[in-house]
Amino acid sequence: MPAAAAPPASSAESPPALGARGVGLSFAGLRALDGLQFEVPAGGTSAVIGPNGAGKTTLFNCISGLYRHEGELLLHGRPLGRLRPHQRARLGVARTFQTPALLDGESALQNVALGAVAHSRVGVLDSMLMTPRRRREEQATLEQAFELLRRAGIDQLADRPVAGLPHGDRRRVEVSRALMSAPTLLMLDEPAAGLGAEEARDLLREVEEVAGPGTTVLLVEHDVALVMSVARRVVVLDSGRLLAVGTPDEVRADPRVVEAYLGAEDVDEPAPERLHAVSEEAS
Amino acid sequence: MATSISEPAGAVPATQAAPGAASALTTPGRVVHRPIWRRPVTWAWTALFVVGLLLPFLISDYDLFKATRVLTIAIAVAGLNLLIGRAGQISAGHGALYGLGAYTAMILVKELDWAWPLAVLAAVAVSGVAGWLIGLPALRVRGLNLGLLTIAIAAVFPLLLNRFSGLTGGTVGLQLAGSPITPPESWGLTPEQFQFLLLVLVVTVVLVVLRNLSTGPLGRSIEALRVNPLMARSEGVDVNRLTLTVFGISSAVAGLGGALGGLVLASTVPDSYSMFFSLTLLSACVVGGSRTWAGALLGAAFIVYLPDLISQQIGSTTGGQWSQLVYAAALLLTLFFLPSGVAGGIGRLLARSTRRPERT
Repeated sequence: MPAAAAPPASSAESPPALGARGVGLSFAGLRALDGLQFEVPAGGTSAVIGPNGAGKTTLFNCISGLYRHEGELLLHGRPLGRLRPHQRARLGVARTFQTPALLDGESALQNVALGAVAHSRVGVLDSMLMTPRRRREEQATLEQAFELLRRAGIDQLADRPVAGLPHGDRRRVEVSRALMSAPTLLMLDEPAAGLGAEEARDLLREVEEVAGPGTTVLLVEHDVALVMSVARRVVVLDSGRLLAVGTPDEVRADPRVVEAYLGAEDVDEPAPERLHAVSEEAS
Repeated sequence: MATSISEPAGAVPATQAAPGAASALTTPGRVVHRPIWRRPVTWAWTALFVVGLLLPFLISDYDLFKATRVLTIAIAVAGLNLLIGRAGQISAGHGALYGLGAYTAMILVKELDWAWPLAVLAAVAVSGVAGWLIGLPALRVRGLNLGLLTIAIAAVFPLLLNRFSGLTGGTVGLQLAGSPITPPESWGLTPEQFQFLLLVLVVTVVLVVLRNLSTGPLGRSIEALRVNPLMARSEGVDVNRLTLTVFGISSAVAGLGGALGGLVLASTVPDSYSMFFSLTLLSACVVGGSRTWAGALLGAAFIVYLPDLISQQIGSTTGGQWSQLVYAAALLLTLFFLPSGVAGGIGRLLARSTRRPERT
């Protein structure tokens, strides 16, 4: 995918995948998020970047519904209000965690199948009595989970417990689980962490391809070079505040970002501790 | 019925094929279900079921009476397994729910002349509702605090029974002239034989239902609730509702065991459902293996036969105290050496000896 592609024509009609209006959150007096105001266009990949402690994961937790926050979040124009996490999941919000959160005792296949829970139509009685509906849904779920593992290139691991899998495979299992719920907003929390640059880029490419045009991918990412090469829109946070939002080119040119975050005008010369991953990526 | 109890999930070493693969395996390209003749665990359960059907004609009525008690307690322990082993909650008060089931059934049969099957169903409903209510605090407190809270329920229950003596008979409890669970005359069975066979069927149904609950979409949700509630929420699991559901079902199952246990014995007294009984159930759950269904049977047999064994060895006067000591020791030893319980340990051993070369 070309860097900083122009937004497709459809975004003019469809509401943004995510809108934040004055989103704020305090923890014991500490201002974790403060008056965030931005939009993430529908479709493609966008990203939230910022140094450690900028509030990126906190923002994800707000979107997931794990934290109560001030202000309003809108999913495809629909206010999320005080909807609880599982209700948001049913509306199409899916996510991964910084450290893959898996059912360690279960197989990769079962882990991916968990993603279908959000849209399961099987009730407690169906489960108890093993009704035909339960059997049909289960078969379809397992087939689809297997297909996702195949597309992630790890179908040979389907029967293996995930506890012993290497980090990259665990990451793929978790991303596949998120895709299993057919999300409209897929939030990936540092998907590239622990992966090589090439592997990370492959992963994101696959995710976009498998998710299809109906899904907006939102990354939290440290690797600025990776973000600049895949994202349509970049949201820059610093100490819980919105520093800038725009296309990668706009963000790169924004003097506030350059001053506070990049520390240098050229991405080729980043502030070392904040942009640890850039050096190996920049060309 | 027993044929559909397949391998209990979980508690497997990382090198073994994952438990979810027990019924569904993948072959290159697709998901297939393992044919029935290749499920050794299914065969083992079927064999056990057949033995259960034959047993009443092989052993004395006295021994059967004991075995029936094992089965009624196994039902309660199975309910506890769902709650503790699967959902990662804790209840140190299941003895009270077992007692609630027993008292409800006895009151309905004795005072209101209900037919025993209806009384049992009502007891299941009452215990289920009570369990659902006990689950409410579990939405806020977890772990040790939840254990303490449920222990308080176990401690208060016998006191409540004494307090409402008009309904419960106070310290002397409720007695019937004989168990209402008797076979139709034409069947030619003794009551003990009939009761045992009935319990074999009920235990089978309970285990199948619980096993069904702990697989598929609901099973995955329950597993997620245990492993990582935060992740479960973001995957779309209504964690609060699921917690209450699991508490309700687990308690209803305990009440079922209690109702049948009380009616078979034709007697309920508050002392039978002391806090100690709740803790004994807990130790049965842990010693048997809280994540295996066979563990419910083993654990129940352990707590029913152990006091007998000890009394035979030491004499009946001090046997009771000694059995408490042995429960405690068994509990500690299991936690240290067999964290997945006796049944879990055996399962692991079998899996290790029969494992096929790993697929890569």
